[in-house]
Amino acid sequence: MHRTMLLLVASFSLLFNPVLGAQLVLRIQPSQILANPNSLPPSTHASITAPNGVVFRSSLRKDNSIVFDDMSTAGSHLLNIYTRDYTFASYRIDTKPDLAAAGAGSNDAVPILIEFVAQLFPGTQWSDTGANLVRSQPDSRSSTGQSPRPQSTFTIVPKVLAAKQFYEQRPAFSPLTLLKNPMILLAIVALGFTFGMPKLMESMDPEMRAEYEEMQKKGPTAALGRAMNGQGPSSSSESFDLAGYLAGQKKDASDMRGKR
Amino acid sequence: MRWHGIFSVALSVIPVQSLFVDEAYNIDFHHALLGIPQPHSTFFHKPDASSNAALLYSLSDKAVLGALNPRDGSLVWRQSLASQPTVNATTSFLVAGEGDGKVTTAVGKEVATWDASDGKLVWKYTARGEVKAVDLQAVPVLGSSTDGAVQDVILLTQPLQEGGSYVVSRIGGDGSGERWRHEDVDTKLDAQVGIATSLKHLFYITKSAGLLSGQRTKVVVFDIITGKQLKEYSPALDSETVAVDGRLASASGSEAPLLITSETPYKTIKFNLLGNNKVSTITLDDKGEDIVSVSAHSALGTTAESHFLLHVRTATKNWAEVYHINTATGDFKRAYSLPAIKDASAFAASNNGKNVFFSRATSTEVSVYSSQSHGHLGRWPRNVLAGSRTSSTDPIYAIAEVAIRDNTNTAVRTAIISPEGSLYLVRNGDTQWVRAEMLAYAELAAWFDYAQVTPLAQELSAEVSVDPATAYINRVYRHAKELMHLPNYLVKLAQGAFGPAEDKPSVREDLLGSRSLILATSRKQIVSLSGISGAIQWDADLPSAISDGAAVRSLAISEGRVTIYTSDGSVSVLNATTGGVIETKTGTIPAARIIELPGTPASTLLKVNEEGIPQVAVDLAPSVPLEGNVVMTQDQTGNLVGWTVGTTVRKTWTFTPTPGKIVAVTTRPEQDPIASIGKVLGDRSVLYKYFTPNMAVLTTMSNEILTMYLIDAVTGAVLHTSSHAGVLDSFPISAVLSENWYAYTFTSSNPETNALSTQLIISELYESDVPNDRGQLSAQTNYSSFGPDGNVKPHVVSAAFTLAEPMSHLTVTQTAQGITSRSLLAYLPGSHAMIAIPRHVLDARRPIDRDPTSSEAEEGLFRYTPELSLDPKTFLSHARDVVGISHISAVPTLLESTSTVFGFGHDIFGTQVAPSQTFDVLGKNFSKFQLLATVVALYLGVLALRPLVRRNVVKRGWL
Repeated sequence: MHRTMLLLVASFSLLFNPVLGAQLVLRIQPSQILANPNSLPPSTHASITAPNGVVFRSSLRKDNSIVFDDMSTAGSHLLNIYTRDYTFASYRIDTKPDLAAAGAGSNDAVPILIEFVAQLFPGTQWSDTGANLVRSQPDSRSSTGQSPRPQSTFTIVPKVLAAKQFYEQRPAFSPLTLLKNPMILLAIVALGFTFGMPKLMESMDPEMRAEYEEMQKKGPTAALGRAMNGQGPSSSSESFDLAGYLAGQKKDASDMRGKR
Repeated sequence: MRWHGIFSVALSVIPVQSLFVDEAYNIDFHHALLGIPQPHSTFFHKPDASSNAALLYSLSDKAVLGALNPRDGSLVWRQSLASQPTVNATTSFLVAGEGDGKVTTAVGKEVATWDASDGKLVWKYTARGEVKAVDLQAVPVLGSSTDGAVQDVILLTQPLQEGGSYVVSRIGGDGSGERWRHEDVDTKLDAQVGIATSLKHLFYITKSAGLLSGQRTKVVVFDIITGKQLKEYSPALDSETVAVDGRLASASGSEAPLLITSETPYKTIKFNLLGNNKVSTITLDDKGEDIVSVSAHSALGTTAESHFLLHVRTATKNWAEVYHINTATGDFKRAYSLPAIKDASAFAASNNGKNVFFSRATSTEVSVYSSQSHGHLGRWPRNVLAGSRTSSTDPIYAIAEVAIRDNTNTAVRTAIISPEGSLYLVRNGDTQWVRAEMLAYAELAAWFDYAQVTPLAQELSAEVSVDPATAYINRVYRHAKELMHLPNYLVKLAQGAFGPAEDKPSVREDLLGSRSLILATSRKQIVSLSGISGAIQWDADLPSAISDGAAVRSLAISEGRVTIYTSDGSVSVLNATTGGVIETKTGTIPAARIIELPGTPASTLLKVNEEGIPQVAVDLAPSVPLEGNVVMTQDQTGNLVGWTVGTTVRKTWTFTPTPGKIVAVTTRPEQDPIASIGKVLGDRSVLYKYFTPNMAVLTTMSNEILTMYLIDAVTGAVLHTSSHAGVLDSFPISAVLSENWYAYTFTSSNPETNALSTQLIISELYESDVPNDRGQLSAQTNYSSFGPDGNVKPHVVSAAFTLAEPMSHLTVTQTAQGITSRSLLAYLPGSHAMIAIPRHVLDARRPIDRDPTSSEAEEGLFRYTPELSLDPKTFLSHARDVVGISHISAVPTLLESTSTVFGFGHDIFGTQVAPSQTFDVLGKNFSKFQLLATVVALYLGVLALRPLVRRNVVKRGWL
């Protein structure tokens, strides 16, 4: 509420008095990700969105800084930095008119002060920012000692978050990827059954084997097992013979086979 | 059942489309454009004192500054001076000092100096008050820059409103700002103003309309160092100036800046050497014809001799007169004249120290003359670039750089701007490269499929229309003819099988289908580009019968013809393969919009006038539209009106947003195939999608409140509404509607929290919220919007995402069958990139604040995060700097997996997208060698096993 009041007063005053814009300097410095800021392309630029939708835009300078000379709006601003190969952090910048300096009713320009600068984290609330970067300075008027003092000029060293990776490498051929294919895995399991099962059966005791064979005849995998063992369907009406169908075998043809 | 599950999970974990290293720069093309160079702000200039090679600097009429490599025409660097390239940019200026490695521009109220070699900003100066720059001149530097002399500039600003004052100021070249200023309060806004510099003086020239006489010219002379006013005089010059670039003075920056005036019929030319009160008059010989125009060319160097050239044009002839100036007395002397020829000529002046050269470029040759005598120093016939289009090579402007080696060898590089908007670089006579700058003015585009006009398709259609016997004979004959190509085909096949997999555009064109993109520009040109390689196939001017003020409203392509509808109601038809004009019909009814509808016997045109009332265009194609077309128009008060067009045109509904006004209307793409009517969930139940072909999304704005309406276009009924507060209208608001979903994006300042963010909202429409239930529509076999079930509202699921940067121009990928999952295409104006966001990332049903259940995971849903990270791997334009895209268009290819995407507006960018990866074509990772090696290995394995098997068989026989 207090904040809205302040803004109201501010905009009222701004309506009549000219303003003296604040200056914001972004100084891009070498970091682990961006070793050489001189390598940034000339298309590198930054934009500040004012609460009323006005956009201030500025290009990268020869000294690797981006300067906004005339931030003439009060309120909460959004700073974005764009460059081709790196992602920079976004910042929230709050400004307010310095009504005390201008004096009520006078026609002097109202200076705009930067009172809050903090890194923004994507997907979070506007109030969930990093620490206020506006340097804390002992304020003589404040009894509590430390409080951030608004500045008319402020310098940020913007944080490089990541280098942009545009491309994907093609996966090189490796036999392991072939093995990971579910179809191949299935084939291997089937092969295991084909060769392993007879051996397993041999090692079973006769009672258990009889039981197993009984179960197999009833079970849903019976046809599959037979098909894999190359026995073909026991009766054509019982189940669908996939392998036979794919081989172009007709039902009557399979019946003929016995006679041949 | 489980199997199906495995399959769908496998589908959902397939990595989304991203760009492979070997695809970048191969599957995409990019025309990085400047716009048409302005002659007064285009020059060859050495980026720094030590370098020998000059770059070609140009500030275009779209306020884009760029440095071009004269060797190959590639862009060294580029800066858009207005934040985006703007058509009809206000006056902009570019000057360069001598050898200080900088160029200075003035646009609007901003003066900026850029590093000439890498394009970074050195300093910026913003003029005070509500003003705009109307002239910028470099201050001649006395001494070299190595001595610490800085290149200052003189800026002239004009007030935007009456009552302000013109200001001449000297701006320090070291970024220190204004050195001195002079205000002129007397001159009115309608006056012509200009400045010129000489070595010691600055001349401020004003031409105001006098009370009695035509115009009054006043020259104020300043000391260029101190800014002290030295003198003021009014030369008796009352006619138009003839400086080449529309400025008042010629030869500014040299020892002898001039004021040259003349008026129709250009028989007498008046000169004034600035600073000297004397006015000289020269009479031109008109060679028996009326002179159409006269323009002056002079070298810009401070040390150059005071010689200048007048280019005289009549209806059929072009010639030039060269004059020498006596700087002491202010007298002019005619030195010689260059012959009159029929070809269109462009002249350029350049200097090499003291020597001044005049170059003449025509469509057939380039010649260089010294300013001293009329004998040519060099003359070369112009050769066209091999393999290039042979369109008009007529020059309208030329910029030349002359080099003399060993005092005898002359070489000249000429940059030529042609009337259609190409920039040529001609070295002596040989064309080195061509840049098609007219593409920066593209406004409308349409796709042309070559399959429509292949001889086979035509023959087949011919066979249908004749009697069976003839058709049979035709077919046998055609097949016999095709047999002749068989050996060639076999050779090609063999080459393809054993050679490496090629990635030439021609190979991809065979695979994807050859399409070309036909663009209409705001300069009334039609250009055809290859959809795969982006090469220009042809360009054509609109027929002269189309009136000058007319703009292209619509492009339609059918049966190999491009039909162009213009705002004056005319129609022109061009051949889509060659660009040749087939016919032009001058219409009588002007139209604000033209809509093509299916009709009998041919498609019908509907003209929408300024009041938003559609009419069948009886003046063009007399055909009757089919029944049941639904058309929406916007009337003058901003209401949306629905019409049913059949044999009659009937108004069915009117939609008035309360409050606010309609900003945009989005409908489904013309071709939007739907592969599946439901969404299969993890537990095999189906959520039925809500479809209607007649949906529209209305974007309305009122006092920072954005309201989106989803309406049924047949009845005008509102199906769904959503509203957002604090939306900033200075940012793009874009919407897209496809299949059973719509998405839109906007930037807002939250009124409660003050948060500034860009959001992307996606809404999916279902028939009901219960799986396996079609809601009220379940019992219906037929549906009518007007019936009792007409007001069945869809079940809408929405999700909002915040984006790290603003986004514009949402579009959706297109594939032939719609089986491939879709991607949302958009342009990022901040990052200068085009992006494809996979649709499944934007699923509105992503679980919020919890991990997905196993059945949701099976469906491919994952946990919702409010932030949608724009992964650089989904940037279609990858490391390219794509500027000023204002339209994105997607079209299917022959492959279901792939969609061709194309963006234009300023730059031209095109690529292919495969949102579910290229599942229907062997990828580059497919190695033919590996396949053959496997076959050989298997064969060897069989051979090795043969004795083993034989032994086994024999053993079994014995057992």
